[in-house]
Amino acid sequence: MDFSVILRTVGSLALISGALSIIISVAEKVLNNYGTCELDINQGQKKLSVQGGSSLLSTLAAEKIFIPSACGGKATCGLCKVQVLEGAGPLLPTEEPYISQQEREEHMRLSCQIKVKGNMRLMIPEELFNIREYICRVESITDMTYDIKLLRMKLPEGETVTFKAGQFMQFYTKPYGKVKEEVFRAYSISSKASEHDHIELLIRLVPGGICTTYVHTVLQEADQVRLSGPYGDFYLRGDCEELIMIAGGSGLAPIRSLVYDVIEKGLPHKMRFFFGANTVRDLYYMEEFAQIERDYPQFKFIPCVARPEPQDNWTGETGFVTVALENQVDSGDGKEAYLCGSPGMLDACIKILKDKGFTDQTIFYDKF
Amino acid sequence: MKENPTNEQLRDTMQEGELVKDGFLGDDQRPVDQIVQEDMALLTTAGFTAERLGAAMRALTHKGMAGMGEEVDAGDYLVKAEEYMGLIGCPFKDNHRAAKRNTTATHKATGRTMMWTDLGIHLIQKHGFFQGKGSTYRLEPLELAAFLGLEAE
Amino acid sequence: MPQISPFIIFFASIITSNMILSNFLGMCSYLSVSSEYKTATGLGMAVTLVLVLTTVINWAVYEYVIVPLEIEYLQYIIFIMVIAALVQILEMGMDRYMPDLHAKLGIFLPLITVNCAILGVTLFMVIRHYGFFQSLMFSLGSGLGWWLAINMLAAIREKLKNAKLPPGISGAALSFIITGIMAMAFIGFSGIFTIQ
Repeated sequence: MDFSVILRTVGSLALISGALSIIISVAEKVLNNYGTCELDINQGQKKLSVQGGSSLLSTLAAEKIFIPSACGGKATCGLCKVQVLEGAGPLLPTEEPYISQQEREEHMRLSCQIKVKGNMRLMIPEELFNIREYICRVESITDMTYDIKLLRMKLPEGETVTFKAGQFMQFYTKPYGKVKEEVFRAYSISSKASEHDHIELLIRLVPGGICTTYVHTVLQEADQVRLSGPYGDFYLRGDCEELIMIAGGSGLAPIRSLVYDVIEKGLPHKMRFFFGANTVRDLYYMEEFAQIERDYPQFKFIPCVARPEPQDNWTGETGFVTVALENQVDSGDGKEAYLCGSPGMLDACIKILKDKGFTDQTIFYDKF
Repeated sequence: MKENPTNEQLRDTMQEGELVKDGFLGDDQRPVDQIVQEDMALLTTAGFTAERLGAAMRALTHKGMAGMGEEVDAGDYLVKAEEYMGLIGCPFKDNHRAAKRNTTATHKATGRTMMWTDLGIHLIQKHGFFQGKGSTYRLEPLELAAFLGLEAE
Repeated sequence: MPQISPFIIFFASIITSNMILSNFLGMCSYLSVSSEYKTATGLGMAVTLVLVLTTVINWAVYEYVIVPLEIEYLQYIIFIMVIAALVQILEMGMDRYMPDLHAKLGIFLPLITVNCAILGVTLFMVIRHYGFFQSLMFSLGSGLGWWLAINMLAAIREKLKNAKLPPGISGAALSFIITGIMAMAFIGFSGIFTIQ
């Protein structure tokens, strides 16, 4: 074969592939570089200069603005909605199922799906600026029942957390076993709002749950954990005379915080706390609430056990929490209801409360 | 054969440790739409629809919910519906969020027990997805139809 | 070399010389992405777009680089490199300037890089000595024809979703049978125009 043919082959191939790679890298420089973008939050109240190219959710998180979300950017929960007035581009197909017609008109977008590609104008509720990230140390993990653990965490020296009793934190797991990425889930705070250097969460083991399995089987005392918060609008309104509190299982957490809040602030509200459990071994914090009841006549504790065994010697209410509610609460006048528990229990209780004259404005519960 | 990219995304969300610890696919290597197709072909050929199966499952779960975590006598079945706090999003990203509820039903006459979640009902009813073979909540379409006592149409 | 009108080439490549139904090119993505009408439409659109762009650019590359340098024996490698590079740039450009289109078509672009219909059209163009307009209309027609075929298959498969079928026939087997019947139906058009 002719030497010049080999030369021409190698030469032209090298030339063409070289030219193509130059074109691609130039295109990447030009097209993939979004440069510095200006984010204008709440009509000029806050201005951020950020590097473009990532999702709005993670860009904001890097700037210490935490938008509540439950699925971690997988577009399955639809909670990370943010009002974007300008610069978000057209609605994406992945967002469509989650954005209603009304939200569309209000320019609500899923912040995990849209990318920062230029200057943007956003509206973010004021209270989200209060949300921070905390790297805590696990001080203790205590078994409260056979499937609920109390996780007590200490904030780093000198750091404090301020939250309204009833709010929740997001808890981040580290990758473990087959879980390859960090995952986070929301848990209500059970500690007192006056305790600024500790956070307590009550975590019930959910079968197949990524985060609860982590807490129950992997996490050890003295481990470092990451939390963000506080989130949520489940907190005391107090525009009434009596508070009806209803909880089941780990739903006791925010109620415990609320009860201490009312007592420590010296508020005059009467409180009745209905705590539902299936068996006696599902009950916990019994002695503590009994003590509060003895110390503060304004507080009444009503634990209800659906099916006590004869050997339990159960002397409290027997039957579902809904039965006690039906019998002991006469009307919704001058009362507010605070609920936390599994969705079925919430539905059943809300139905009874509405029959008694409670309204959407006097019934409060977390919707996550 | 190349995999449909929407399938690939689905496979990613259904992987172990993504939405739930054990994932939705078990050790099933088939693409998600193939799992759906093959199960649905079995089901429709036998004269059932996923819609009817889902409705029958939901009806049992509703009966079980009256027990608030305790076993309930619901005619031919003993049903227990256990609930956990929080909601879980559907991996098909259709804005459905299901309660974390586990239903265990036992057919009194045969003693057979089947278990499903609220999300599982939605997956069957709306997406024809009975989950991958080898996964915790996989239900064989025809066994489920027989268990629910449905008549073929 | 007979000069066929570009418009005849356009219609012929949709109907009588359909990329799928008479040449059986681009089958893998055709079979795997045809279970839903909506996604099939997305892929069809993406294939058409990429086909037109790559064919036009490959035409220029052939005429102004390959022929003058007398490196026809390297055309396969060069065409494939051009297609791969173009799809990359297209994806980046779409992401930047047309985010909604990118969200619809973006996931299909990597799949298209290795779609044999794309390379097939370029090679047919070279073998048949098409000029610029002929190549343009040929690629547009082939793209639309491919799109038409995948949409038809997807529509039929959606219809059959709730049909009672003999066991073992669902999935790929059924798609092949449907495609075969469609191809036979398309033979009925042959004779209207001939380009191959």
